Amino acid sequence: MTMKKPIWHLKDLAFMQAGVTALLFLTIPILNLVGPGGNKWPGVLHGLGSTLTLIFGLQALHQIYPLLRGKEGSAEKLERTLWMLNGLVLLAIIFGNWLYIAYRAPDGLQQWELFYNPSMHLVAMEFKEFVALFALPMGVSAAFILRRFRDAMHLDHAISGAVAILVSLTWFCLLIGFVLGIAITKNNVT
Amino acid sequence: MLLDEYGVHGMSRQDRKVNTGEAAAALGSVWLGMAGLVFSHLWSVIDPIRANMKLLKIGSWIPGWWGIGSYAGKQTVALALWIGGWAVLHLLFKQQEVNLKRWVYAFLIGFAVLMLLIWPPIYHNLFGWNPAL
Repeated sequence: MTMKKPIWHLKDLAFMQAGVTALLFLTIPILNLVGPGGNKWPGVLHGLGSTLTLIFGLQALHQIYPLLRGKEGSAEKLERTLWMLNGLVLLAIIFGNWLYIAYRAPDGLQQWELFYNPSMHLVAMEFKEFVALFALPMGVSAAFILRRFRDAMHLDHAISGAVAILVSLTWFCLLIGFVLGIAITKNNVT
Repeated sequence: MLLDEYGVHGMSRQDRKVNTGEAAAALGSVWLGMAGLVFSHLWSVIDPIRANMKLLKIGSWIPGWWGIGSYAGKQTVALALWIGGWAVLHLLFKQQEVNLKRWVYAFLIGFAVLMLLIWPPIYHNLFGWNPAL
């Protein structure tokens, strides 16, 4: 008995699933364009940047497993993902700084929070604004180590271990920034 | 073919040794940068009047610094310690083989310590609940 061929190429199916997921995920920040409030562009761009960093961060997180198993070519693949991630993290930081001006401005969200819901600024914002930044140096270092040691991975298991820890902590920091960032935007409803 | 197997110095790729000190320097400088961010923030919580003036000045190269406030200075301190520290540590350690496993564990502990220090309920309990603006 021969196996029946599936009606789609599996690659096409996987591509469709990933594409639709990414598109719908990215509409979370984009939909803010039709939401209430002023100063929308810095917020939408910061949201778009951080959503994309989450997608690439997750991809990097997956790619540390073939690296730890010593699969050929895995160092190059992870390094490529990481440089893209680092570029996106830098963009998200720049847009975040731009958005921060409106956040701190008189009559801005910071004042509203301190008056009605102080822990949102005192705990959530004062934590995530620093922790999310940690993702940049850790991602750059991981990519640097992969570039320098790509032919020497097998000599010392601590090299891929260091990369794995850096990528995991990068993901952890990105997620903290993302989750608390979304929590803070939920406050903007008076 | 020749270029693939031999680098410009006539050594094969396997011969071109990279010391684990380079990875240690990268890890150490990341910790220095993160510590710069954490401690400059704690400084602005403990002594806001003096710290924020200083941090605002340090951060004034960033476009929009007038609106970003002392946060621009904290980012500048972190960036300078990360990049400057990386240059120094790289030169110090690039010739050495180090026990990288020990560096990775030290980095993990250092990261955990920084996360505790930057967790607002802890430092606000120690230094008061004035908001860092």
